[in-house]
Amino acid sequence: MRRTATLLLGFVLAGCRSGPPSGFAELVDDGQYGRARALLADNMTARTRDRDYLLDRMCLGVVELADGRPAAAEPVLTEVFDVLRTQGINDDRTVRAAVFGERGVIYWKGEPFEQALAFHYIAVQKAMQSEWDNARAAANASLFLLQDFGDNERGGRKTTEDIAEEAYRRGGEAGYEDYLDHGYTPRETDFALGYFMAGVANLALARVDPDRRNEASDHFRRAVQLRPPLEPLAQDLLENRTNTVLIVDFGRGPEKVRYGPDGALARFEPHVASDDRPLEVTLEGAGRGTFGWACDVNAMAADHMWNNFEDVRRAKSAIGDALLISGAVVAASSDSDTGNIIGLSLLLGGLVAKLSARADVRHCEIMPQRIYVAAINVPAPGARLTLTVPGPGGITLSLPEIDPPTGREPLAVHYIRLPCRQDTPAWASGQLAYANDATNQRVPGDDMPFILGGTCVRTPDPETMRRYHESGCLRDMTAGDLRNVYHAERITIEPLDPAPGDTHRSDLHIFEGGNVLYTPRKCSTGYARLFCVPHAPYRPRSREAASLARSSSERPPENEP
Amino acid sequence: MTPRTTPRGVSALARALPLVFFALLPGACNRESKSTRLAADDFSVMSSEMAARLRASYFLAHRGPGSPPITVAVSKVDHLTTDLISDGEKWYLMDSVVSSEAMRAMEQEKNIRFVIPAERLASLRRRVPEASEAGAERRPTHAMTALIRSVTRSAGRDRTDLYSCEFRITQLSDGEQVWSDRFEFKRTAFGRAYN
Repeated sequence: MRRTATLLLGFVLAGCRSGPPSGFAELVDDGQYGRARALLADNMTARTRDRDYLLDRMCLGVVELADGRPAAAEPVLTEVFDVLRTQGINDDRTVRAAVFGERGVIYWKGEPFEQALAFHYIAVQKAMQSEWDNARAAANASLFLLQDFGDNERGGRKTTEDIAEEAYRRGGEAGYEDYLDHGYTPRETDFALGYFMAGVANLALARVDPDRRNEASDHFRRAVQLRPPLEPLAQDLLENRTNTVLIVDFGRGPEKVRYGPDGALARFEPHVASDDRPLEVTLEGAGRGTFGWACDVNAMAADHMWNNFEDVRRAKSAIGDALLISGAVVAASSDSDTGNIIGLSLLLGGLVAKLSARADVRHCEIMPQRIYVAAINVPAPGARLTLTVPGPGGITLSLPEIDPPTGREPLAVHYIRLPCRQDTPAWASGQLAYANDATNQRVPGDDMPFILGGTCVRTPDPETMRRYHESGCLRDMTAGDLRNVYHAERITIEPLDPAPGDTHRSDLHIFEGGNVLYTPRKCSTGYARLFCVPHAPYRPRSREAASLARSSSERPPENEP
Repeated sequence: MTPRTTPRGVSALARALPLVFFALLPGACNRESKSTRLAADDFSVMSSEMAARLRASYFLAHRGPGSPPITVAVSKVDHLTTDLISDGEKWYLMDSVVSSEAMRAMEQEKNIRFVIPAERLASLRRRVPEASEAGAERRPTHAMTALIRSVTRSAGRDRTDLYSCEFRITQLSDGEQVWSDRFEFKRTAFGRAYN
C-alpha cells in the first residue's frame, strides 16, 4: 500500500520539476554566457521524446548568439526550427494520457509567443551569417496566424480565466474543448519585430533580386503600422542611409506562474516592468541616436492570442475534486481493510489527478523583457559603439569596435544582449585587453600568446607568428610548432581544429578555465566579456609550454643587451 | 463517314484524369506527414528530372560532338522558400543535376562541359595553394542558375507548401536566356502548427 502510494506520488512529482537547471537564468542575466552554456550542456537531455528537448536547445541557441557565436548556435537552432515546423506533435496526446504514462508525454513547443521569438532568433542567426534567404524564411515563419477570442465585458482583452468560463458557459463539459478549438477568430499576427526582420532580410536580398525590395517595403509598412517608432529606421534602411542593424535584448522576460484553484491555470508575470525607455546608441565620430523598443515580451505574453491554453485544457480534464470526495467517503465509511484500501486508492488517485492538473510552468526563462532595433550607418571600421538604457536598472555597454558590412554585403546585423544586473561589469567599459583575430588593434604584451604569458589570443597562423617574430619573440618557432604547443595543452583552436562530434558541448574559453580558443563576433556581449577585462594568468599543463613560458618571462626586453 | 461517339466510360475517365493528375502530383497527401520541409528525396527527384529535361531540351537537341564548345558555370541554388536550406544543400542540388548520368553522357555527345563558378574557384585556390592555377582555362560561355520558391497554404490543422524550382541557362555574351524549365511539387502536413 505504502509502496503504491509512494510510486504514484513519486511519478507525479518526477514530472513537476523541468526546464533549464537552477541558476541558469541568473548566469545569463549576469552575462556569464560561458558558464551558462556549460551548465545547460551538462544537463541537457538527449532524448528527443523528453519534454525538455526543445526548451534546452532554444535556450542554448539564444545563449550562443549572446556570446557572439552564431556558427555554434546553428545546429541547435536548426533543430529548433525543425521541431517548430513539425505539425501536430502533441495531437492525440490528451492531458489524461500525459498524466498517466510515458506514452503521450506532452512535448514542449513553447507558447506561441515563445515560438515566434524562437523563429526571430533563428532569423537573427542567419542574418548575422549573411544568409539572407534563410533569414527571410525564418522571419516569415514567425508571422503565423493567431487565435483571437476577443475582448471581455469589461472592455479589456479576455484572460485565460475568461476564456475557460466562456468555454463552460457555451459548451459545458461536452463542448468545452470544442469552444477552445473553434471559438476564436484567426487573426494576422501583431509581431512587429517579425515584420521588421522580414523587411531587413528582403532588403538585403534586393541587391541581387530587385523584386525583394517591394516585399521589404510591404513588411516595413506593416511593422510601422504596428509599432510607429520603427518608421525612421525603415525609411533610413530603404533609402540606404544606414548599413547596420543592431538587435539589442534588455531585461529578463516574464515568468510563468501558477494560479487559480489547485494552481491549474498559468499566466506570465513581468520580471522587469515594461516602460518606454529608449536605447541610446553612440557611434564614435558619428553621433548619437535613440531608438524605441520593437518588441515588449511582457505585453506579448499577457495577451491570450500569444498563449496556447494548454493549462485551460488540463484543468478541465482533471477530475481531482470528484475523486477526492468519493475517496474520503469510502475510506471513512468502511470497516474493512479492503474498503480502506479502495478508499485510500481513490484518495491518492484524486491527489495524483489534482497534482497532475497543476499548470505546466515550463518556459524559456531567458527571453528578454524587450527587444530594441537600431539602424545606424557605420562608415569605416574601428569605431567604438556604446549602448545605454538609461534610468534605474539600466546599463551602459561599450564595444571596442564595430565595422561596416564586409565584402559586397549591403547590410550587417549584430545581436547584442545587455546584461541584467545591479552593477555595471568591468568588461562593459570597451577597453580592449587582449589581441585577437577580430581586430588589428594592439595591446601591451600582445607579442606573446596568452598561454605563454602574453596577452595575445590570436589563432597561431603565419600572420600571427610574423607579429611575434617582429617583436623578437618565438623566432625559432613556426605556426605549426605553436599549434603543437596548444595541442599539448589540450586546447582546441576554432576553427582550425575539427569540431567535436557532439554539437551540444559548450566548452569554455581558456580565459574561463576551459580548453577552447575561439573569437566571438566583435560586436557582441560575448566579445566584451572575454576580451575587455583582464583574466587570471594561464597555468601551463605541459612541460613544453611551462618551459616556453619560463624562458619568455626571463627574456630581456628587446632594447637591452 | 459516320462520326465516332466517345463511349460514356471513356469520357468520364477523361474528365477524371485532371483530378487524378493533381492527386498524384509528387508529394501528394500523406496522412502520416508532419512537416512540409524539403527532404533529401525532394532534391534527388528534382535533380534527376531536371537533368533529363535539359538533355531533351531544344537548347541541346541539335548539338553534336562537333558543335562549338559550351562551358557552363554553375551556381548554387537560390531560394525564396519558407524552409532553411544550407549552402551545402544548395550546392548539392545543383551538383546533382550536372553530375547526373544524363549530363555526364552529354559532355561528349553535345560538346558541353560544366564548371564551378568563379567565387567557388577563388575559395578553392585560397584553401589549396597547390590549386592556384586551377581553372585557368575555364572561360565560361554560359551560366546556369536555379531558384526554388514556395507558396504556403495553412488552414485549420493542415499546411501545404507548393515548391517550384526553376533552372535557367543564360548566354554570357548577350544575356540571352537559352533554356529554362520548372519542376513543381507539394508537401502537406497534418496537425496543428502550434499546440
